Amino acid sequence: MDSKLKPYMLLLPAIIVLLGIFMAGLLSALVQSLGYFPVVGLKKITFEYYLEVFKNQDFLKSLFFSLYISLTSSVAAVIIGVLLAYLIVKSQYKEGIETVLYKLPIIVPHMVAALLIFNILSQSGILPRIFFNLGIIRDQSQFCNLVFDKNGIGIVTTYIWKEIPFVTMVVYTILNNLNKELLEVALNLGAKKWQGFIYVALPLLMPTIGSAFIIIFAFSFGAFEVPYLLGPTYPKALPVLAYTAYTNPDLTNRPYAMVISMILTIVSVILILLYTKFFRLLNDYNR
Amino acid sequence: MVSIELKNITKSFNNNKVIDNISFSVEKGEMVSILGPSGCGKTTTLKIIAGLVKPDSGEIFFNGGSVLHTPVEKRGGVLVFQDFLLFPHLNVEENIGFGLKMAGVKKNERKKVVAEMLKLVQLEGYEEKYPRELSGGQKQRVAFARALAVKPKVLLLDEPFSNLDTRLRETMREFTCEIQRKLGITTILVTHDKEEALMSSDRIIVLLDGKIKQSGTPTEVYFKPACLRVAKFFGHKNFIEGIVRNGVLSTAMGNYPIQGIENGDYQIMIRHEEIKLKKGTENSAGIVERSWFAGERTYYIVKVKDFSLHCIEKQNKIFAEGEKVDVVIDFNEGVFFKKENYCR
Repeated sequence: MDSKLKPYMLLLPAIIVLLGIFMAGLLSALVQSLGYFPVVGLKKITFEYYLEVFKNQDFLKSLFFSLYISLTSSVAAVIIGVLLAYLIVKSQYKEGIETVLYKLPIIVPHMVAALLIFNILSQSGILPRIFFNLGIIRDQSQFCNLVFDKNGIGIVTTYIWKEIPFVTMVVYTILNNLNKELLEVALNLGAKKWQGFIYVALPLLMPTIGSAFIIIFAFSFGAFEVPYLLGPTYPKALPVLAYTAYTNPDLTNRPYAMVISMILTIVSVILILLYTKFFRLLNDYNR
Repeated sequence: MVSIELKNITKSFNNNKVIDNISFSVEKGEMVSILGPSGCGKTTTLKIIAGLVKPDSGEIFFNGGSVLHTPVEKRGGVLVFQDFLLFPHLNVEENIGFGLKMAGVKKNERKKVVAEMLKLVQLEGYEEKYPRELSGGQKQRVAFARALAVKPKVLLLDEPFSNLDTRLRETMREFTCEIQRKLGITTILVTHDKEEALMSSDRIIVLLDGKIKQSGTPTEVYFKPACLRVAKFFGHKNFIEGIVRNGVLSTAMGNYPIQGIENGDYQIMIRHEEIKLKKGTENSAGIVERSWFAGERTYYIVKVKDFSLHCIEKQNKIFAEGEKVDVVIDFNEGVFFKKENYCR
């Protein structure tokens, strides 16, 4: 065998399995979204389902709801995470905090995090009970609805709680390794400390912050379990809407589920492209 | 343009004394080199002058006024770092204009100053380039322009040429000296390269183990090192023990008449260019042990009795290894160190 081909041939079984499963799923979803689903007699390729979905108010509300949840939680997590990373870098106890923060996002699954938030924020949760015992509210039902609510407070809180440590650790690693002499140069050229942070540290951190933002945004935009457990019945988050359409006993609804899934995929691909751009920028800075 | 004075500056890191009670001054417009090996406290001294490091004790004066408590951003001692440290996210124009932007200078004015600086460092047309797109020499020039753009009171150069290759180093050294003279800016250059210090400075301060061992003009420091350690740091290799009694120097190599040296025990330093070699005979005392041809000159190690003498001869005198040679030494040109001047 040609020695140049050999490594590729050896990798072929793994590539077939990996790409095969991925591509088969993606292609199947794509053709079904285009109305080709012969099992139930749908054989005509059409963009009709896409047009219908985009005209559907429920879909549009779900899309905006998902975007709102992802954007709010990601922005909040990034701001708090960056500040926390900065404080840890400045802290003399960073070794201890660092260890704990590393473990937090790893050991708590999203589903458990959702249940924790439910136990704290729901009307039968810990917070209303504290308020009730302090006499702030007369009845636990008086406590404002923070889960299953239209504003998605429970979902957003869960994501923020889960994502802050991730952002913190990613930014902390870069911030800790940032060439301190660059900040000295800034001060030496007449910059005040805050100017050094704004004009030197922050721009150098931006590719990292951008990457972290995209990762958590993409995850929260496409994740199913948290909005399913803590979200309102209307509007549903996009992945929940796709799941509902997918599990509909009427199989002619399947193309609608696949259109939503394809939209989620397209958004993810755009985010991956953005992530690659940020990553390239990060590499450029380090050259 | 300012004069600088450091008085009794001391600095320790983790109980390790890096700067030990040093005092020196730099006149307005003067270019002074702080010369010493790695870890002798040169960079710390520069950072103390710039205000990036606080001394444990001592005083710093600019034009006679204390700047000890003046924060780094207001002090006006601008450093050009060894590895240039250009901001990687800013292009050349933004890098040079950074200090002006921090000072609130308007964009139009900044552009004007940046253009002037780029002309000065001969990098017109590089405004849009990013540091990653520049060569070492270009980065060095941008770092230099960035420092000059803020009109520093004193320019502090921290081994600015050490990251450049030999040819570029020479070019940049000449270029820097030219600009320094043109602008008349008070400059302190830190280096471990004695040739760089000798060629660039009005005055050299030799710093060893955090202490100033000598301060003087390049010729003073080279021809009259204050102690053995300074001499050895300058690369002098010929040291001969001897006793002077009534105008006669007695060494293991023989006795020589000597003038103007009081009686006593000495280590005598003979610069390699002060030793002359002549074609020898069978009875000559010197034997060429090693030789290195280096173009316009040849380096030799010549064995005379138990001594290995390092010599340099011009290209018209080439001796073969093993050849017998006559060695002529004028001890009156030597530097005599009494035991108290060994400063080990």
